[in-house]
Amino acid sequence: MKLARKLILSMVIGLTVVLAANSFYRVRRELTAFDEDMKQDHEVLAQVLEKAVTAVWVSQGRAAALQLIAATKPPSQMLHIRWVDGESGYGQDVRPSQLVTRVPILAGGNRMGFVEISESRDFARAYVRNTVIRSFALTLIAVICVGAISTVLGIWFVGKPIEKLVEKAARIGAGDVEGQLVIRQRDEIGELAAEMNAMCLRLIETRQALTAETEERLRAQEQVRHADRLATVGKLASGIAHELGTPLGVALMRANMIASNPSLGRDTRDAAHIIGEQIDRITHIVRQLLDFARGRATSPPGPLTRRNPADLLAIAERAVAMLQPLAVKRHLVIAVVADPVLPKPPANPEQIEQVLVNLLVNAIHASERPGKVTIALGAVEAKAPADLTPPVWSEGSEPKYALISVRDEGVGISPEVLPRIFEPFFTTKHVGEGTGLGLSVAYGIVREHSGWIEVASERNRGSCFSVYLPMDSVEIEWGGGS
Amino acid sequence: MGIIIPGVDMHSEDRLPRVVIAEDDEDMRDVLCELVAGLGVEVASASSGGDLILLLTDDSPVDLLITDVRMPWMTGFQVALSARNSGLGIPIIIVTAFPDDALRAQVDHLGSAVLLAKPFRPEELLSLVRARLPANAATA
Repeated sequence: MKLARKLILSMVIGLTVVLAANSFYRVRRELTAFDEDMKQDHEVLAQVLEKAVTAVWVSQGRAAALQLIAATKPPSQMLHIRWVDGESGYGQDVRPSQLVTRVPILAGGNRMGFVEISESRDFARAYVRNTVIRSFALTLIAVICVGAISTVLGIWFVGKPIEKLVEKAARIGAGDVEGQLVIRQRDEIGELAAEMNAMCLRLIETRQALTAETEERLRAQEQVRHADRLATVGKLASGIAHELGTPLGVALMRANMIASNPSLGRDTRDAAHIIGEQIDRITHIVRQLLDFARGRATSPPGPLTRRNPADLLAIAERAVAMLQPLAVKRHLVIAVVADPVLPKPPANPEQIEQVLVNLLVNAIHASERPGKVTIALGAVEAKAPADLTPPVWSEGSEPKYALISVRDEGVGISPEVLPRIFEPFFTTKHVGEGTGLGLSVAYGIVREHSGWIEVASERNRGSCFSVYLPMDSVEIEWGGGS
Repeated sequence: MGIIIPGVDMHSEDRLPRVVIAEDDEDMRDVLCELVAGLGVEVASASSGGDLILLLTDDSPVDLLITDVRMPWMTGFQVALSARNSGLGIPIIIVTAFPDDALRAQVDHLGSAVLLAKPFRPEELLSLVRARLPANAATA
């Protein structure tokens, strides 16, 4: 049974009981008062009749006395007066249907008989019946009115809001915490609704925080996975490169020795020269592989490897000068935009120049139509990716990074390709256009500087490579590395 | 640790410059020796860190040391460092297939030493060697 209905029913029952009890006691009290009135009337009448009848009996005899009694007109039609012979039955007698009062008449010391006054109590019964009916009707009306009012108010103040609360609670239970519960009541239900809304807001906040945290964790995992994959490839590459170093060196030197031996025939020397050139190419690739793999050098950077502050603008200008002819050939303009006050991150300038050159070559190759390649230099506050141990910053200082970005207006990088661009030998260029090592080398060098590269790309709108290099951090003692 | 090097700087002016080459790979060692010998200098070679110590501690003078880093017994760098600490002031060329920044810094620290990453072209080595031989040395 619903709460509102229970409340209404108990109110109605209570009201009925109170009204019924009230009617009952009122009827009883009034009935008693009515009987008392009647008795007093009878006594007064009896006394008057006694004196009058006795006096007439003594002076004029029995016949005159009886005639007086017969002639006496009672004050009410309900009242009857008569003469009764005999001696018994003196006093008042309340019967259910009537009240009977008897008064004895004495003459000369002898009891002659008595006068009997009787009055019907029908009136009282009628009164009780009327009262009961009226009370019943009143109670009924009251119950209907109270029932109706309390039903309306109960539904309005209790039923509906509780229904809303229940529905809301069910929605919350099912996971839907959106939307505010509107109950404008300054009572417990209103408070409950307000609490529920507050709870939902807290739930939403918690949920958002949780979602953000999960996303952050997923992204971090992805970064670690990506870095792991590159690290594995890097290890493989560096292993191969190291093993190739000595035999390539031997072959290169032998070839050069043959090529520069004047006692040999021209054909032989030419052939040796070509062998030397080919080995030179392999050597170049192997060196690039080593540059990529160096980001995973086993020894951590220590005080011995402290780098000097690098002049980013000078580095950028050198890189632009180197690639200007290639850019002009492709009808491209290379612009350098630098913050007025440039950061000077501790870095190896030749390596950073190599990074910039590789990124520029990549940007130029990505630009299939005339346009602009923009190099931007500045400083930024950033959060290092999860797989990178950030430098230890001195207390109170914000993690600051120097930012070098290279933006092109080229073909962009498709989402499938994006995660793989730093892998060695991964290339979308035509055979002969690139080894697929340029970005890998840039990645390796930047990682070696405890920095990272971010890529944003839009199909046919261009790409932006952002290089983050940490600014000076607190010096850490790594112990003697070798 | 220290190595006692008797009279290394007491070479006379009329002898050929003497270059010590340490490399564990035989083919590499041979080609290095041939290349450097082509400059008209005397060449002595070692195939391990131990051999290198023996070469450096015998009575013959040494004008230039070319050593690989990874070698059996003791790395070329360790030998070079010990020799430097014991007072050997000659120029040193450290050859390695593992040129990381830590090693670069250590080589810088050694003083009058240079790092050459494998693989390298003959001219790269030869120009380094030439620049480090005594001024009046014969060249091919």
